Amino acid sequence: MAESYYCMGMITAYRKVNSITDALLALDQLENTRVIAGGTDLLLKLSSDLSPSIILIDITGVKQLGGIEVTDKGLRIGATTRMGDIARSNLLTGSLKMLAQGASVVGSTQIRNLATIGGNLCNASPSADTAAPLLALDAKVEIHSPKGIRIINLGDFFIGPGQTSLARDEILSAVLIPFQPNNASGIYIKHAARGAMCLAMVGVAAYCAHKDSGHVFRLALSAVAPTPIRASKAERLLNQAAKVDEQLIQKAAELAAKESEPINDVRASAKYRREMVSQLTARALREVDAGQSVVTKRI
Amino acid sequence: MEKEIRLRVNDKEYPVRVEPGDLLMDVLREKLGLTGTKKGCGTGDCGACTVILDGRPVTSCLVLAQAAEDKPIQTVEGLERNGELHPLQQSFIKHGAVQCGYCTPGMLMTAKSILDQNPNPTEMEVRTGMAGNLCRCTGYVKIIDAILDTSRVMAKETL
Repeated sequence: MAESYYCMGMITAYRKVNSITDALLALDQLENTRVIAGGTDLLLKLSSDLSPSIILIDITGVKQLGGIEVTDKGLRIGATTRMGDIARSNLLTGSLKMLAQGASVVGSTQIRNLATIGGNLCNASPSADTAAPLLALDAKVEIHSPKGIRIINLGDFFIGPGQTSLARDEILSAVLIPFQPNNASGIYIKHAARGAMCLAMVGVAAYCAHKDSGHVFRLALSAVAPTPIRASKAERLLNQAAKVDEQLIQKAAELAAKESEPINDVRASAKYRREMVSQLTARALREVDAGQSVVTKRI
Repeated sequence: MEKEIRLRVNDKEYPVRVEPGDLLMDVLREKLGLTGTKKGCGTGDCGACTVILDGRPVTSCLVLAQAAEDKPIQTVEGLERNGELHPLQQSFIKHGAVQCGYCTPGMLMTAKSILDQNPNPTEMEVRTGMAGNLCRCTGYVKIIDAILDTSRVMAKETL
């Protein structure tokens, strides 16, 4: 057969599993196995890495790993849930809409019909579009292994560019988002060269919940550090202030810029990114402070 | 190691022998002879290889053939009905939305899926929906016009 543009001959076997148990068994019993869901990052990585032989375990048929459901603690999003389904989900209301916003700006329509949230997180690009919204929502991730189930903060899941704390015998099974107050607002701003198909140069996710006793802000940044991060110093400044005004927002935005560690790369310079963190953080904070939940204008 | 699988393409069943690493794009073209689906970038960026899989448009260069087994697949060859071109195809011709034609099958499949989900899209919805399909010839305007016109034509037909 004629060759494709890239040779996937390193894939020596492909197997579809129906349960998490079977997936873990396959990872454990076979050599050189990788789990595959959407494949939009993995297939490209395999071809560019000139990987040695590899066996792919397709987990998209595992019911436990799919779907969005409301639990007693919040929302549980199965790891193999497609970006397109997250973008369209009407279970993501209020401040959770910013996760739908993040999912809706990944790649293109076609990519979103294949790519999954689990893959987005496990690929661990510093610019992953679901990462900043999830960090700002205090999301956790559920991980299965032969030893059992562990649940950790998303912030502890990312450990470096393209690196997670997932062990070789583990599978990310779900993303867990705690309930948020009905009046909370969330926004995700993706700053990229084009309106689609681009990685973010800067990603800003802001969350705000006003209460009688004060307010809670959360701020997450992507594409401007080795991993997606929470801008905790900026958050502290905002949350300790008695009153939120433009001056405070500006100060917080500048602090967030200082907290970021952007690099020069093909998409943008570090200097530009730092400046845009400041600008976009201020914009995002103004929106959520005013109770806005959706980005109304594309940059 | 080769395996025989069943692909359901344009409402027809095709038994075909594939390797584990064979991509849907290549199996459609090389083994089923359905060369309407084009190979562009091979990395999911250009959309030339777009087919409709299980009701949704996907870049077939990023789908393993085995992963597409038993799921309904529609390619550009499946658009015509009884020898008549699909309204989208007719509209593309009418509006001059085809130059070299290489992006066209991908454009048609994505456009069809937009109209299937949303029969009356706004221009912005069409542009956002089509953002994964690149064209080096036309400058896109006539493609967008053709799609929007089709939605009007199809709306009239259902009245």
